[in-house]
Amino acid sequence: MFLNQFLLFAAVLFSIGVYGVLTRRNGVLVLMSIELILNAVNINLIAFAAYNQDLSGQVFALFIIAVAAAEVGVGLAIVLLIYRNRRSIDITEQNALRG
Amino acid sequence: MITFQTVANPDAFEVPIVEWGALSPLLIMALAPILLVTVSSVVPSFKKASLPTVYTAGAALLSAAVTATLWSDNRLLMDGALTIDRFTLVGWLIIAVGVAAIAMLLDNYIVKQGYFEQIIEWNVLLMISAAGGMIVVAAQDLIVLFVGIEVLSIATYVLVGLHLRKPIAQEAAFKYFILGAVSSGVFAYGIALVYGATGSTYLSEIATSGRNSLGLNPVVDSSLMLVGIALMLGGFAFKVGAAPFHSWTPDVYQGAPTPITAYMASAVKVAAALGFARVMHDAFGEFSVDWQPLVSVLAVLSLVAGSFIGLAQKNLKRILAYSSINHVGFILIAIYALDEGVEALLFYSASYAFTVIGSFGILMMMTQTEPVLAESDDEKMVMIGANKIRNLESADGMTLDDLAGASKRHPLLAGLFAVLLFSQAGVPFTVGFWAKLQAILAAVSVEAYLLAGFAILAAVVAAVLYLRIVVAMYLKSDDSEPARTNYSKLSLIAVVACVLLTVGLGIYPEPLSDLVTNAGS
Amino acid sequence: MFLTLLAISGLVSVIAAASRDKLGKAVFYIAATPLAAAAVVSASWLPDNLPSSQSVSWVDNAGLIFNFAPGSFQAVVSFLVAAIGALIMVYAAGYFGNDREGTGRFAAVLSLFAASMLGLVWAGNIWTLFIFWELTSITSFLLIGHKSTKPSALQSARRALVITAGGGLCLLGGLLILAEGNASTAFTSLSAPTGATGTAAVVLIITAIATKSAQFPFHIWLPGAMDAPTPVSAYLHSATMVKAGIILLALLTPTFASSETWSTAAIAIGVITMLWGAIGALRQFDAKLILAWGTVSQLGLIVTLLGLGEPKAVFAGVSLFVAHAIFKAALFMVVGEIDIRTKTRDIRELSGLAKSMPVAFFVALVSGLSMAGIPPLLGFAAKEAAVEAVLKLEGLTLWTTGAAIIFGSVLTVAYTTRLLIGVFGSSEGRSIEVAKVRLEMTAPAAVLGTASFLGYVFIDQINTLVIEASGEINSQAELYVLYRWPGITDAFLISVAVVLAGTIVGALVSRSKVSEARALGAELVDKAVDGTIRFAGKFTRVVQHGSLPIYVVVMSLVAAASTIPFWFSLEIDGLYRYDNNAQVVLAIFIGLAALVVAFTKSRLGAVLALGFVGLGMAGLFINHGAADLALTQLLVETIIVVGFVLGFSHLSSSFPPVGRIWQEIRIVVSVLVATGVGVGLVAVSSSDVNSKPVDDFFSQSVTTGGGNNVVNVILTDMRALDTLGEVVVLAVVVVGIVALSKAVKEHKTVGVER
Repeated sequence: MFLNQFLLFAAVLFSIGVYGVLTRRNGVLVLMSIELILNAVNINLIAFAAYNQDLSGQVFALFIIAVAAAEVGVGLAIVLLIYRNRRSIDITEQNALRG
Repeated sequence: MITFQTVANPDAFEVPIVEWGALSPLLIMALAPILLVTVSSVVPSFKKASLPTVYTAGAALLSAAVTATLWSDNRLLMDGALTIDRFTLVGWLIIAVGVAAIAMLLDNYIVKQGYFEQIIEWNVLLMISAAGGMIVVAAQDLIVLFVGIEVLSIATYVLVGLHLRKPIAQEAAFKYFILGAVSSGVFAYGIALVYGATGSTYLSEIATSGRNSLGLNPVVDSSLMLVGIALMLGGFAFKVGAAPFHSWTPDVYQGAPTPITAYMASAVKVAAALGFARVMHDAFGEFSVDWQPLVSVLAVLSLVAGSFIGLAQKNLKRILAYSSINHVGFILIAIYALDEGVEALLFYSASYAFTVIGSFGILMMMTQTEPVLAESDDEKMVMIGANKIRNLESADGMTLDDLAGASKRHPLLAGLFAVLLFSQAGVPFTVGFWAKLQAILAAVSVEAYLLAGFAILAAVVAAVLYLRIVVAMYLKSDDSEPARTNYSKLSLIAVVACVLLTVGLGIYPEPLSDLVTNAGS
Repeated sequence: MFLTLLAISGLVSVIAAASRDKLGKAVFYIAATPLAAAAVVSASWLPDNLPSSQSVSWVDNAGLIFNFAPGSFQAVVSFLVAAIGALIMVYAAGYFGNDREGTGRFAAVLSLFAASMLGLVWAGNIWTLFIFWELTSITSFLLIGHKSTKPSALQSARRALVITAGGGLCLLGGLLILAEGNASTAFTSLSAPTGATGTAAVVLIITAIATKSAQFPFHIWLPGAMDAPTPVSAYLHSATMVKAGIILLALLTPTFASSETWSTAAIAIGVITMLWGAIGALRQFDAKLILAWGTVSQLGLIVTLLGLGEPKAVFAGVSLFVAHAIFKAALFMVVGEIDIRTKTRDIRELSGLAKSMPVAFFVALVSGLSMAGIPPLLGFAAKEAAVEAVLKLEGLTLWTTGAAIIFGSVLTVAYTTRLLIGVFGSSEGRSIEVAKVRLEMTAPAAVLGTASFLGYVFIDQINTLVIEASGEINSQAELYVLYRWPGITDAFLISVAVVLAGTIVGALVSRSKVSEARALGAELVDKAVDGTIRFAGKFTRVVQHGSLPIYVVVMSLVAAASTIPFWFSLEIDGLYRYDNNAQVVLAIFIGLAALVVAFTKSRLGAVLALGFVGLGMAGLFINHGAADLALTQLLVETIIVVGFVLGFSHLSSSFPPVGRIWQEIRIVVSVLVATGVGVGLVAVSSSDVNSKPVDDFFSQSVTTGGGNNVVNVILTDMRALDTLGEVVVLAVVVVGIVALSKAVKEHKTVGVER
C-alpha cells in the first residue's frame, strides 16, 4: 500500500501552503497559498479513495476544487476592493482593527 | 441520546428519494433569494423602501413556520445525507427566526439611511448563507457538512465586506476570509483523514466503523482518525470563535456592518456549534475520551478570554465580541457533556441567539438615529449614486464613554439594552440565567467539576463586563437631551421581540425548555 | 400569594422605570404600596398562622422547582423587610424632595430589590434562595452606583459587586454539593454531606455568608457602599441585604448542627468581625460610616451567636436580629436627614443638633440607647439575652468567645456614645445651619424609633415571635424568654458594667482626634481588579495585534499542537513504496511548483507555478483513474489562473493597456496547456487502470443513473444535495462578486473617504 507516502506528500504541500499564507504580504499571493492547502487535501482524498476502494473521496475532491475556485473568486473581489480604498494590498498594513 | 437509523448501505446505490415536505424549510431559504433576484431585476421598483426586507423576513418566518409543522418528524433524508430530528428542527428554527430579525435590523441599517443600491444583495446573501447554516445543522454526512459550511462562510465573507464606505469593513472581510479559508483547509484536511481511517463520510458509519465484536476494528487506523478529529475540531473551533481560535472575532465583529455582526454572532455561530455537536456526538462518540480534553481546554480558554481579557475593552462592539467568546465557552461545555448536554446546548443556543441579535441591534439603532438625506455639507455626508447620505456606520467606534447619557438620549433603547445585558450576565429572571445554569448543571452531571467551576467564575467576571455597560448608559451627561428618534419600525419590532423573549422566557422558561427536551431522543 | 405579591412588585418596578422621573417623588408612594401589602400579609402569618407553601415547577428537566415556604423565623423577617421597606419608600420621597432626577429609576431598582429580598426570605428550597440571592447582589450594585457622577460610587459599587458576586459563586458551588447529596432541596429536608465534600460545602457556604453579611475579611465592601443614597444604606446595608447571609446561616443551622467546622468557622469569623467592626466604628468621623462599621460589628455578633448553636445563643441571636433591624434603620434615617438638612455628616463639624432637630434627636437617642442595650428599649432585652447566653457557655468558649462578646458590647456602647455626643452634643463656638424639616424623612424614622420602645413595652408579644422563630433554628431555644426586667442577676450586673465602661470610653474618644480607619482590603480589591484589567489590556495588545499573519500563526500552531498527542500512535512501519513512477514525477513536479508559489518574488511566476500545481494535481487524478476529476481540475485551474492574472492587472498602480493583459493570459495559458498535455501523457501511460475499484459503481451508474461518467452520475443523482449546495456556493460567488465589484465601480466617483 502506498498510502503513507501520499500522506507525507500532502502534509508537505499543506505546510508549504501555510508557510505561504504566513509569509506573503501580498494579499493575492496569500490567496494562492490557500489554493495549495486545498490541493493538499485533494491529494489525501484521492489517495484514501483508492485505499478504501470507495468513490466518495473523489466526489469530495471535486467539491473541493469547486470550493477553491469560489474562494479565489470572492477573495480576489475583496482584495480588489481593499486596493481601491487603500491603494495597497499589503496585508501587514491591514491592522486598523486591533486591541 | 441522538440516535439515528443506520444509513442504508451505500453499496446498494439507490437513487435517493427526495422528500420535499421535510426539506421545505431549507428549500424555502435557498430558493427565496433566487426568486428575489429574479423579481427585483424584472421589477426595479421592488428595490425601494422596505419591500425586500419584508420579503426576506417573511420568507424566513415562513421557513420557521414550516419547520414548526415538522415538529414530530424524525427521519433521514436524501439517502441519509440529512437528518430531520428535534435537534435539526430547533437549529432551523433558531436560524430562520434569526434571519428574519437580522433582515429587520438591516432595514434600519440600509433603508433608513436611504442606501438602496445593494439592498437586494444584502438580503440574498443573507438568505443563502442561512440556507448553508441549515444544511450544517442537519448534515449527516461530512461532505454535505463541508459544503454547508462553505455556503455559510463564503456568503458571510461577502456580507462583511459589502459595505461601500467602510475600509475597516473590507479589512474585516479580508481577515475573516483568509483565516476562514485556512480553517476550511484545516477542516477539510481533517475530514480527509477521518475518511481515510473509516472509509466513509457518513456520521453513523464513521461511528460504527470503530466497532466489531472485540470492540475494535482493525480496519480503522485510530491514530489517523484521531489526528483527523483534532483537525476538524480546530476547524469547528474557528467557526464558532472559540479561544485560541478566536483572534478574528473582535476585529471582524467590530469592522463588519452591525447587523451582519449580529448575524455572525447568532445564526452563524449557532449553526456551527450545532454542527460541531452533532459530528462530535454522532460520529466521534466512541472517541470521546480522546477529544473531550481538547474541547474542555477550548471551553476554559474561551471562558477566560471572553471574560477576563474582555475587561480591557472599551469599544462596545469589541466588548460584545468578547462576550460572544465567553458564551462559546458555555456552549462548548454543553458539547463536552454529550448526551447530558444536548438540551443545555439547544437552550443556550436559542436564548443566546436572540439576546445577541437584540444587543447588536440596539447598539446599531442608538448610533443611527439621525435623519436621512440631510441637506448640510457635513463632511460626514457622502454621495452614493444620486443620494447624499450620512456616513452609515458609527457604532464601530463607539466606546463606553460615548454611551454616557444614553439613558437620556434613548430612554427606550437604553432600557431594552439593559435587559439584554442583564440576560447575558445571567441575572435571574432573564433567559440567560437559565441558559447558564443548565450548562453548569450539565457539566456537573458528567462530573466535570473543574469545568463547572471555571464556568461559574467566568460568569461572575463577565457580569462585570455587562454591568459596566449598564452603568455607563445611566451615567449623567451634559448633552443628554432626548435624541430625535428615527428608527425603522421593523428594527424596533425585532429588538422589542428579542427583549420580550428574554424576559418572558426568563420568568417562564418552560416553553423553550419543552422545545429542546427530547431533542436528544 | 407569594408569586402574586412578587409579580405586583415587579410590575410596580416596571411602571416606575417607565415613568422616567415624571412622577417625581410620588413614585415612591406607588412603590411603597406592594410593600405595605406584603407587610400586612406577613403580619397575618404571625405568630403561628404560617401560610401553606407554594410550589411552581419552573424548569422541569433541570429539576428546578420554585418553592416558597416561610417558617416562623422567615415570617418575622418577612414582616421586618416589608414594613421597613414601606417606610424606606416614604423616607426616599423625603430624601429626594423636589429633585426629580433619577427618581423613577431609583424607585424601580429599590422596589425590585425589595421584591428579591422578600423572595429570598420566603424561599423554601436552596435554588429559590440562590436565585433571589443573586438578584439582591445585582440590584444592590445598581443602587450603590446610583450617584453615578461620583467616581468613588462607581468604584464602591464595583467592589461590592466583585465581593458579593464572588460570594454568589461560592454559594452556587456549595449548593451544588448540597444538592448532589440530597433528593430534595427543601431546607427542611436537607442533610449535610460528610467527609471532604462536606467540609468543602461548609467552607463555600460560610464564605458566601461572610461576603453577603459583610464579615471579616469581606466586610470591606460595606463602608464603601455608604456612597449610596441614604435610603439605600438604611434599607440594604442595615436591615435587609446584609441580613441575607444571616438568614441563610439560620436556615442551614439545623442541617449543619453536628458539623464542627460549621460552628467553628462561623464563630471565628463572627468574633473577629464584631471586634474589628467596633474598633472601626470608633475611628470614623462620618456619622454614616460610624453606623456602617457598627453594622459590621453587630452582624458579627449575630453570626457568632448563631454559630454557637446553643439554644440560648440562638435565641439571643434572633432577638438581636429583630432589634438591630429596627434601631439601625432608624439611625441611618436620622443621619440621612441630618445630611440633607445640614449638608454634612462629619461629627467634627456637627454640633448641638439636639436643639435644632429635636425629633431627630429623640429618635437617634432612643435607637442609639437600644443599640447600646439600655432599658426601657428592645435592644436592652436582646442584649440581656446575649449576656445570659454568654454566661451559659463553659470552659474555653466562655473565656474566648464569651469574653469577646462582652468586650464587643463595651465597644458598642462606646461608639454609640461617641456618635450621639458628636452629633447632638453642643460644643462651644460652633453653630450649624439647619434647613427646614422634611416630614417624609422624619416620620418614618420616628415610627422606627418608637418601635424600639414599643417592642419593649409589648415584650410578651415579641417573645412569642422570637420563641417561635428561634425554635425553628434550634428546637430547645423555645425554652427561653426575653425579660422586660430581669431583676438583679449576674447578667444584669455585667450589663451595667458594660454600659458604664462603654460610656466612659465613648465620652473620652468622642472629641478626640483619632486616625480615620480605612478598609485596607478595599484597596487590595480595587488593585486586584485594576490589575486584572491592566493585564488584560497588555495581553490583548500583544495577542490581538491586529496583524493577520500573527493570527494565522497562532491558529495553525494550536491546530498542529492539538494533533501532537496522537502522533505517538501513528504507525510508520507501513511506509510502503509508491505505486508507479509517474506518481513520483508528479509529486516532485507539484512540490517544486508549490515551493515556487510560496517563495517567488515574481507575481507572474507565482501564477504560473500555481497553474503547474493544478496541472500536476490533474495528472495525479488521471493516475488514479479519475479522468473526470482531472478534467474539472484543468478547467477550474485555468479559470483561476486567468482570474489571478486579471486581478494582478487591476492591482498595479498604473493600469496596463488591455492588450497587455490578454497577452499575459495567453502566455500563461499556452505554457500551462503544453505542460499539461505532456504531464497528462506521462501519467496516463503509467497509470494502473486495472486497480480502480469503481467497477461496481460503474455498472450501476449506467443502469441507474443513465450515464457513463461515474463521478458525474454520483454528483447528479446520488449526491443531489451536495450538488445543490455546490450550485448555491457558485450562486453566492456570483452575487458576491457582482456586489463587491459594484462597490469598486461606485467608489471611483466619490474618492477615498475614511
